[in-house]
Amino acid sequence: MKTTAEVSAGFGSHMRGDGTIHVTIVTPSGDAGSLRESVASMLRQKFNRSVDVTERKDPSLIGGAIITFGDEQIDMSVRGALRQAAVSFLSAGASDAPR
Amino acid sequence: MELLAKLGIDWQLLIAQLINFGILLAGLTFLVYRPVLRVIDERRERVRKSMEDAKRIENQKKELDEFRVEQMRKIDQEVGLFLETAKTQAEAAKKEILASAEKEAVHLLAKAKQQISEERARMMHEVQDTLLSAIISMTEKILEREFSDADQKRLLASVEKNLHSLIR
Repeated sequence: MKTTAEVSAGFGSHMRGDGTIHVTIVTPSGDAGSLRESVASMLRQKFNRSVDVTERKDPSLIGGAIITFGDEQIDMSVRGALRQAAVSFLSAGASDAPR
Repeated sequence: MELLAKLGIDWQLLIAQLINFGILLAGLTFLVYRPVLRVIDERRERVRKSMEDAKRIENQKKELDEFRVEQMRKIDQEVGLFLETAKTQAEAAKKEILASAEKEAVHLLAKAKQQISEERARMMHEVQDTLLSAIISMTEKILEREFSDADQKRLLASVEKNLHSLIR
Protein backbone atom coordinates (compact mmCIF):
# COMPACT_ATOMS: atom_id res chain seq x y z
CA MET A 1 0.00 0.00 0.00
CA LYS A 2 1.17 3.49 -0.83
CA THR A 3 1.74 5.89 2.00
CA THR A 4 0.15 9.31 2.06
CA ALA A 5 3.55 10.88 1.35
CA GLU A 6 3.99 8.70 -1.74
CA VAL A 7 0.53 9.53 -3.01
CA SER A 8 1.14 13.22 -2.36
CA ALA A 9 4.50 13.08 -4.13
CA GLY A 10 2.95 11.21 -7.06
CA PHE A 11 0.16 13.73 -7.33
CA GLY A 12 2.63 16.65 -7.23
CA SER A 13 4.81 14.99 -9.81
CA HIS A 14 1.78 14.36 -11.99
CA MET A 15 0.63 17.98 -11.71
CA ARG A 16 4.07 19.28 -12.60
CA GLY A 17 4.29 16.81 -15.47
CA ASP A 18 7.81 15.77 -14.57
CA GLY A 19 7.14 12.09 -13.67
CA THR A 20 7.78 8.93 -15.64
CA ILE A 21 4.87 7.20 -17.33
CA HIS A 22 4.85 3.52 -16.45
CA VAL A 23 3.40 1.39 -19.19
CA THR A 24 2.64 -2.32 -19.02
CA ILE A 25 2.09 -4.34 -22.16
CA VAL A 26 0.68 -7.82 -21.63
CA THR A 27 0.85 -10.33 -24.49
CA PRO A 28 0.44 -14.11 -24.68
CA SER A 29 4.16 -14.61 -25.30
CA GLY A 30 5.48 -11.68 -23.25
CA ASP A 31 7.02 -10.17 -26.40
CA ALA A 32 5.24 -7.15 -27.86
CA GLY A 33 7.89 -6.65 -30.55
CA SER A 34 7.85 -3.28 -32.25
CA LEU A 35 4.62 -2.35 -30.45
CA ARG A 36 6.68 -1.68 -27.35
CA GLU A 37 8.69 1.08 -28.99
CA SER A 38 5.69 2.50 -30.83
CA VAL A 39 3.73 2.86 -27.59
CA ALA A 40 6.68 4.38 -25.75
CA SER A 41 7.34 6.81 -28.55
CA MET A 42 3.76 7.89 -28.84
CA LEU A 43 3.31 8.45 -25.10
CA ARG A 44 6.60 10.30 -24.83
CA GLN A 45 5.58 12.56 -27.66
CA LYS A 46 2.04 13.05 -26.34
CA PHE A 47 2.87 13.80 -22.68
CA ASN A 48 6.44 15.01 -23.07
CA ARG A 49 7.56 12.76 -20.26
CA SER A 50 9.87 9.79 -19.95
CA VAL A 51 8.23 6.42 -20.46
CA ASP A 52 9.05 3.15 -18.75
CA VAL A 53 7.65 0.08 -20.51
CA THR A 54 7.28 -3.27 -18.81
CA GLU A 55 6.22 -6.40 -20.65
CA ARG A 56 4.32 -9.27 -19.10
CA LYS A 57 3.24 -12.66 -20.33
CA ASP A 58 -0.31 -13.98 -20.08
CA PRO A 59 -1.12 -16.93 -22.38
CA SER A 60 -4.81 -16.72 -21.49
CA LEU A 61 -5.05 -13.63 -23.70
CA ILE A 62 -4.76 -16.01 -26.73
CA GLY A 63 -3.72 -13.14 -28.98
CA GLY A 64 -3.33 -9.37 -29.16
CA ALA A 65 -2.21 -7.21 -26.24
CA ILE A 66 -3.37 -5.21 -23.23
CA ILE A 67 -1.69 -1.82 -22.77
CA THR A 68 -1.97 -0.19 -19.34
CA PHE A 69 -0.68 3.27 -18.30
CA GLY A 70 -1.94 5.46 -15.48
CA ASP A 71 -5.67 4.89 -15.21
CA GLU A 72 -5.97 3.88 -18.85
CA GLN A 73 -6.25 0.32 -20.11
CA ILE A 74 -6.48 -0.56 -23.78
CA ASP A 75 -7.59 -4.13 -24.21
CA MET A 76 -6.90 -5.34 -27.73
CA SER A 77 -6.62 -9.00 -26.78
CA VAL A 78 -8.57 -11.86 -28.33
CA ARG A 79 -9.86 -12.82 -24.89
CA GLY A 80 -11.00 -9.25 -24.27
CA ALA A 81 -12.73 -9.12 -27.64
CA LEU A 82 -14.54 -12.37 -26.92
CA ARG A 83 -15.66 -11.17 -23.49
CA GLN A 84 -16.75 -7.83 -24.89
CA ALA A 85 -18.79 -9.65 -27.53
CA ALA A 86 -20.36 -11.81 -24.81
CA VAL A 87 -21.25 -8.74 -22.73
CA SER A 88 -22.78 -7.03 -25.78
CA PHE A 89 -24.74 -10.15 -26.62
CA LEU A 90 -26.06 -10.45 -23.05
CA SER A 91 -26.99 -6.74 -22.94
CA ALA A 92 -28.87 -7.07 -26.21
CA GLY A 93 -30.58 -10.23 -24.90
CA ALA A 94 -31.62 -8.51 -21.66
CA SER A 95 -33.12 -5.53 -23.50
CA ASP A 96 -35.02 -7.87 -25.88
CA ALA A 97 -36.25 -10.17 -23.09
CA PRO A 98 -40.11 -10.60 -22.90
CA ARG A 99 -41.86 -8.73 -20.11
CA MET B 1 -179.85 4.36 47.83
CA GLU B 2 -183.29 3.19 46.89
CA LEU B 3 -182.08 2.22 43.52
CA LEU B 4 -179.30 0.14 45.14
CA ALA B 5 -181.84 -1.34 47.40
CA LYS B 6 -184.08 -2.13 44.42
CA LEU B 7 -181.11 -3.81 42.76
CA GLY B 8 -180.60 -5.81 45.93
CA ILE B 9 -177.27 -4.20 46.79
CA ASP B 10 -176.57 -3.36 50.36
CA TRP B 11 -174.83 -0.05 50.16
CA GLN B 12 -173.31 -0.42 53.59
CA LEU B 13 -171.88 -3.72 52.58
CA LEU B 14 -170.73 -2.18 49.33
CA ILE B 15 -168.93 0.58 51.14
CA ALA B 16 -167.41 -1.93 53.47
CA GLN B 17 -166.38 -4.01 50.48
CA LEU B 18 -164.89 -0.91 48.84
CA ILE B 19 -163.00 -0.04 51.97
CA ASN B 20 -161.80 -3.62 52.21
CA PHE B 21 -160.78 -3.53 48.60
CA GLY B 22 -158.99 -0.21 49.12
CA ILE B 23 -157.16 -1.58 52.08
CA LEU B 24 -156.27 -4.69 50.08
CA LEU B 25 -155.18 -2.60 47.15
CA ALA B 26 -153.09 -0.35 49.36
CA GLY B 27 -151.55 -3.35 51.06
CA LEU B 28 -150.85 -5.10 47.80
CA THR B 29 -149.44 -1.92 46.35
CA PHE B 30 -147.01 -1.41 49.22
CA LEU B 31 -146.24 -5.03 49.89
CA VAL B 32 -146.27 -6.67 46.42
CA TYR B 33 -146.65 -4.37 43.46
CA ARG B 34 -143.91 -1.89 44.32
CA PRO B 35 -141.30 -4.52 45.34
CA VAL B 36 -142.10 -6.50 42.21
CA LEU B 37 -141.82 -3.36 40.11
CA ARG B 38 -138.58 -2.54 41.85
CA VAL B 39 -137.22 -6.02 41.20
CA ILE B 40 -138.32 -5.77 37.57
CA ASP B 41 -136.72 -2.35 37.25
CA GLU B 42 -133.53 -3.59 38.84
CA ARG B 43 -133.48 -6.58 36.54
CA ARG B 44 -134.16 -4.39 33.54
CA GLU B 45 -131.37 -2.09 34.64
CA ARG B 46 -129.00 -5.06 35.03
CA VAL B 47 -130.00 -6.32 31.62
CA ARG B 48 -129.49 -2.87 30.15
CA LYS B 49 -126.12 -2.59 31.80
CA SER B 50 -125.24 -6.05 30.65
CA MET B 51 -126.29 -5.12 27.16
CA GLU B 52 -124.23 -1.96 27.35
CA ASP B 53 -121.27 -3.92 28.68
CA ALA B 54 -121.71 -6.46 25.96
CA LYS B 55 -121.92 -3.72 23.40
CA ARG B 56 -118.87 -2.00 24.89
CA ILE B 57 -116.99 -5.26 24.95
CA GLU B 58 -118.06 -5.86 21.38
CA ASN B 59 -116.80 -2.40 20.42
CA GLN B 60 -113.58 -2.97 22.30
CA LYS B 61 -113.20 -6.32 20.59
CA LYS B 62 -113.81 -4.65 17.26
CA GLU B 63 -111.29 -1.93 18.07
CA LEU B 64 -108.83 -4.56 19.22
CA ASP B 65 -109.41 -6.49 16.01
CA GLU B 66 -108.88 -3.35 13.97
CA PHE B 67 -105.80 -2.53 16.03
CA ARG B 68 -104.53 -6.07 15.55
CA VAL B 69 -105.21 -5.93 11.83
CA GLU B 70 -103.50 -2.53 11.63
CA GLN B 71 -100.56 -3.80 13.64
CA MET B 72 -100.34 -6.89 11.48
CA ARG B 73 -100.45 -4.71 8.38
CA LYS B 74 -97.71 -2.49 9.82
CA ILE B 75 -95.65 -5.52 10.79
CA ASP B 76 -96.18 -6.93 7.31
CA GLN B 77 -95.07 -3.64 5.84
CA GLU B 78 -92.05 -3.43 8.11
CA VAL B 79 -91.13 -7.03 7.48
CA GLY B 80 -91.56 -6.47 3.76
CA LEU B 81 -89.43 -3.35 3.94
CA PHE B 82 -86.86 -5.13 6.06
CA LEU B 83 -86.80 -8.06 3.67
CA GLU B 84 -86.51 -5.69 0.72
CA THR B 85 -83.65 -3.83 2.41
CA ALA B 86 -81.98 -7.08 3.36
CA LYS B 87 -82.40 -8.32 -0.20
CA THR B 88 -80.92 -5.09 -1.59
CA GLN B 89 -78.06 -5.24 0.88
CA ALA B 90 -77.48 -8.90 0.08
CA GLU B 91 -77.47 -8.09 -3.65
CA ALA B 92 -75.01 -5.25 -3.05
CA ALA B 93 -72.82 -7.49 -0.89
CA LYS B 94 -73.00 -10.20 -3.52
CA LYS B 95 -72.00 -7.76 -6.26
CA GLU B 96 -69.20 -6.40 -4.10
CA ILE B 97 -67.92 -9.89 -3.27
CA LEU B 98 -68.10 -10.90 -6.93
CA ALA B 99 -66.33 -7.73 -8.02
CA SER B 100 -63.70 -8.24 -5.35
CA ALA B 101 -63.24 -11.87 -6.34
CA GLU B 102 -63.00 -10.91 -10.00
CA LYS B 103 -60.50 -8.21 -9.20
CA GLU B 104 -58.51 -10.64 -7.08
CA ALA B 105 -58.65 -13.23 -9.87
CA VAL B 106 -57.44 -10.67 -12.42
CA HIS B 107 -54.71 -9.60 -10.02
CA LEU B 108 -53.67 -13.20 -9.39
CA LEU B 109 -53.73 -13.94 -13.11
CA ALA B 110 -51.62 -10.89 -13.88
CA LYS B 111 -49.24 -11.80 -11.07
CA ALA B 112 -49.01 -15.38 -12.30
CA LYS B 113 -48.40 -14.15 -15.85
CA GLN B 114 -45.72 -11.80 -14.60
CA GLN B 115 -44.12 -14.58 -12.56
CA ILE B 116 -44.18 -16.91 -15.56
CA SER B 117 -42.72 -14.17 -17.72
CA GLU B 118 -40.01 -13.39 -15.18
CA GLU B 119 -39.27 -17.07 -14.72
CA ARG B 120 -39.06 -17.55 -18.47
CA ALA B 121 -36.80 -14.52 -18.82
CA ARG B 122 -34.63 -15.78 -15.99
CA MET B 123 -34.40 -19.23 -17.56
CA MET B 124 -33.66 -17.71 -20.93
CA HIS B 125 -30.98 -15.61 -19.33
CA GLU B 126 -29.50 -18.64 -17.59
CA VAL B 127 -29.59 -20.63 -20.80
CA GLN B 128 -27.97 -17.73 -22.65
CA ASP B 129 -25.32 -17.41 -19.95
CA THR B 130 -24.58 -21.11 -19.97
CA LEU B 131 -24.60 -21.29 -23.74
CA LEU B 132 -22.48 -18.20 -24.06
CA SER B 133 -19.98 -19.44 -21.48
CA ALA B 134 -19.74 -22.72 -23.35
CA ILE B 135 -19.34 -20.92 -26.70
CA ILE B 136 -16.70 -18.60 -25.31
CA SER B 137 -14.87 -21.47 -23.66
CA MET B 138 -14.95 -23.51 -26.87
CA THR B 139 -13.95 -20.52 -28.97
CA GLU B 140 -11.07 -19.75 -26.64
CA LYS B 141 -9.90 -23.36 -26.84
CA ILE B 142 -10.16 -23.38 -30.63
CA LEU B 143 -8.41 -20.03 -30.90
CA GLU B 144 -5.68 -21.13 -28.48
CA ARG B 145 -5.05 -24.07 -30.78
CA GLU B 146 -5.45 -22.25 -34.06
CA PHE B 147 -4.05 -18.83 -33.24
CA SER B 148 -0.56 -18.82 -34.72
CA ASP B 149 2.45 -16.58 -34.20
CA ALA B 150 1.76 -15.09 -37.59
CA ASP B 151 -1.78 -14.19 -36.46
CA GLN B 152 -0.36 -12.61 -33.34
CA LYS B 153 2.11 -10.58 -35.41
CA ARG B 154 -0.66 -9.41 -37.70
CA LEU B 155 -2.82 -8.49 -34.76
CA LEU B 156 -0.04 -6.57 -33.00
CA ALA B 157 0.74 -4.79 -36.28
CA SER B 158 -2.92 -3.80 -36.51
CA VAL B 159 -2.85 -2.51 -32.92
CA GLU B 160 0.32 -0.58 -33.69
CA LYS B 161 -1.26 0.87 -36.78
CA ASN B 162 -4.32 2.05 -34.85
CA LEU B 163 -2.38 3.25 -31.83
CA HIS B 164 -3.16 6.89 -32.54
CA SER B 165 -6.88 6.31 -32.35
CA LEU B 166 -6.57 4.03 -29.31
CA ILE B 167 -4.49 6.44 -27.16
CA ARG B 168 -6.34 9.71 -26.84
